[in-house]
Amino acid sequence: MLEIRNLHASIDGKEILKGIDLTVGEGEVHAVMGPNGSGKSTLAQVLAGHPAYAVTAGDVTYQGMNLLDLAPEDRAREGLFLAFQYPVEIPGVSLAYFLKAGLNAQRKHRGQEELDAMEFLELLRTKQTLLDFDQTMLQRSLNEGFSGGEKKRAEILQMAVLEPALAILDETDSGLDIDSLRTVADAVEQLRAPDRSTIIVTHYQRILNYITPDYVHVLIGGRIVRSGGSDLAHQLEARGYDWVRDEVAAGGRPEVTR
Amino acid sequence: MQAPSSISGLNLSGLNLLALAHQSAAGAPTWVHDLKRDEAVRFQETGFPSLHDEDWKYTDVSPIRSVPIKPVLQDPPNAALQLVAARLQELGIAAPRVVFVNGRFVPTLSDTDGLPDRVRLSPFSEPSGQSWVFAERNFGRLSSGDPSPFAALNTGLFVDGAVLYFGNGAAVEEPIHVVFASIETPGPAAAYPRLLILMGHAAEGTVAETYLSLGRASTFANAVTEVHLQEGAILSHCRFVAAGEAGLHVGATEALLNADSSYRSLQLQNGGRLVRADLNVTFGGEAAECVLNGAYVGSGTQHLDNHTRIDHAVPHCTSRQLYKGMVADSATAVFNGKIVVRPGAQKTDAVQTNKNLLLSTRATVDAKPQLEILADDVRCTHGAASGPPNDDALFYLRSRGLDAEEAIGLLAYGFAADVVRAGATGSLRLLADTLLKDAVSAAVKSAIPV
Ligand SMILES: Nc1ncnc2c1ncn2[C@@H]1O[C@H](COP(=O)(O)OP(=O)(O)OP(=O)(O)O)[C@@H](O)[C@H]1O
Ligand SMILES: [Mg+2]
Repeated sequence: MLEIRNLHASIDGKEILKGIDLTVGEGEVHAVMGPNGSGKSTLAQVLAGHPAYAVTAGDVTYQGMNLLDLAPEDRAREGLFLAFQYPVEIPGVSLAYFLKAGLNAQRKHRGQEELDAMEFLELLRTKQTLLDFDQTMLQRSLNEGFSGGEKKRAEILQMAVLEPALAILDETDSGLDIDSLRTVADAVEQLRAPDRSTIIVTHYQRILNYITPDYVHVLIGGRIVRSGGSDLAHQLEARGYDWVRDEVAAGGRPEVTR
Repeated sequence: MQAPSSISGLNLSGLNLLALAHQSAAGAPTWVHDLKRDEAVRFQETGFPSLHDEDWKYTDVSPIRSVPIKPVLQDPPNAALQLVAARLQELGIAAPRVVFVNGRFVPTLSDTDGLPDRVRLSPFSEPSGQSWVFAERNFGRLSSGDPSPFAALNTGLFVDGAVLYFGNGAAVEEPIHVVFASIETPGPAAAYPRLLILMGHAAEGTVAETYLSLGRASTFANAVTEVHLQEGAILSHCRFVAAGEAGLHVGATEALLNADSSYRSLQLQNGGRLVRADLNVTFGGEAAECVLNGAYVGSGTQHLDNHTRIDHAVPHCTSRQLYKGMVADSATAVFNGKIVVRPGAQKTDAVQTNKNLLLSTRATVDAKPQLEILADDVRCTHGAASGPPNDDALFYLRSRGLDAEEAIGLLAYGFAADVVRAGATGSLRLLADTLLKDAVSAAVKSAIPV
């Protein structure tokens, strides 16, 4: 599905990613954890193609394609989805309008027929009911005035409608109440299939109680310094990051690299 | 009557302005002809404005100088009427409506049957002469005080137009349409559309004035609309200028608001080679309010100019302005918002906001708030901002599969959508939305996904 090799990226001349190696197989769920400012969102944004970041070295293969060669919209059309840590407010454009435009752009790219207004509304209604999503928000300006949690839920609604092959959730669980957290976890579970993969960027074990990751990675200082199974998340929760830093400083090798 | 021998800087092609003033609006009463003569003389004295005039600093009217200014005096050909009819259908501009093509009333496209008794919409040229009876005390009252030479030229040369009259307490919910279409004849055509809106005490209504330019020749429309709101009247007034690629449009709206009245305006400039709109609101009575919304979208080498002037001449009035513009390619735009608070106009509450989206590095907007505050107990704020589309917003849209042009189109549309939402409801919102989407699509060269 995704293979990242020695990825270096910088923004405004400052190097943030300093050699990321990560392989995500089909059907797998990976969790990426790490302290604030370690480069998790940078990794997510670089994968989605934010033009502000310069990739200075390394390569990324996604479903056999050179991901870094693709424009952001083409990555989306090829099934990559990023749930933003900070979804952007778009005044004057409703979530429904925007999502229909995005979905149809993707369908067109794949040679599928575009959905008309009725078909789209039907699809939207199904997903929205499934996620218990407030209908009035569909017609409001996208993310404008949405609460923190509402923004995250809106990202998940988009994911549910777009049905990506690779979903990257950047701290979608942060700021969610217990019920919303379960809804988000359910939405991820719904998508789980042998040919779909998920990367969950998170600070907390709690979402991983619902979605058991196949692998957990620790990102510190722009590098993945340690990888392990789901129990690594428990250890991090209990002990923080210092022990990982210490081990790395002492020359300890990452446990599992897959 | 004395004819001018020559007027410097005027392309009158040997035309006699005063004779033209007399010839146009044949059949109008003497007082109208006197007014036309006076205003023609006023224009003659000033001529077209130049870049040296403070009010015309950013707008070069030379494209207008090269168009013959003689008003079209023939009825439009049938083919032209069919084009107009088709466009009206397309835009959903339904009855009650009056339609003028190249300044001349077209009965076959007009229909005012559905209006209630106490509301009257009729062309000045109406054979009974009744329109002039309704217009008499107010026609030209505001426009004669407008320093713009174009206002004088319009009065001097107008051929026809409409009077819309609401009796005291009359109310109409559906929008009333007044359409002025310009179309090549086959050469360039000049027209001088004219509208007078009289709202009686506590009357309430919605009017949409739509200017269409069809065909490729440089049609020139020089319009004047006068609005009088009596105590407690409420008017929602849309003014749409779709001047096409080659259209030249200069229009002035003069509104006088008496006590407790409310004037809500939406002005949309949806392209045009040169478009200038002046909106002058004067508070003539206390506790009145105006809400002025505007959006302008330019592309190619178009030039769009909005001048607003709000005269807080009396205390306790409120004005709100939200104007948003976007320019692509090497288009240019101007927003000049003047707020005058007269001595003694205490408790004035005025807010002005102007925002511009620059869709190319060559496009420019001259944004100029002008506050003249001569009273001390007032609240007046203004803000202006111009800039390119936000990179993070563009990336967000693209990350869902929209290509760069679609993303810019959607952002640009959303940028101005709140103006349309604030300024129009029901079928007019749909119309404004359609015009806005068309203009934005043309500006970003990509259809906005429906
Ligand atoms: N324009 C910029 N110029 C310089 N440094 C930047 C710029 N943008 C981001 N950074 C830095 O990049 C680093 C990585 O940021 P990133 O958002 O990827 O962290 P993160 O791991 O997602 O953190 P968090 O857990 O707080 O979300 C931070 O130190 C941040 O300050
Ligand atoms: Mg982050």
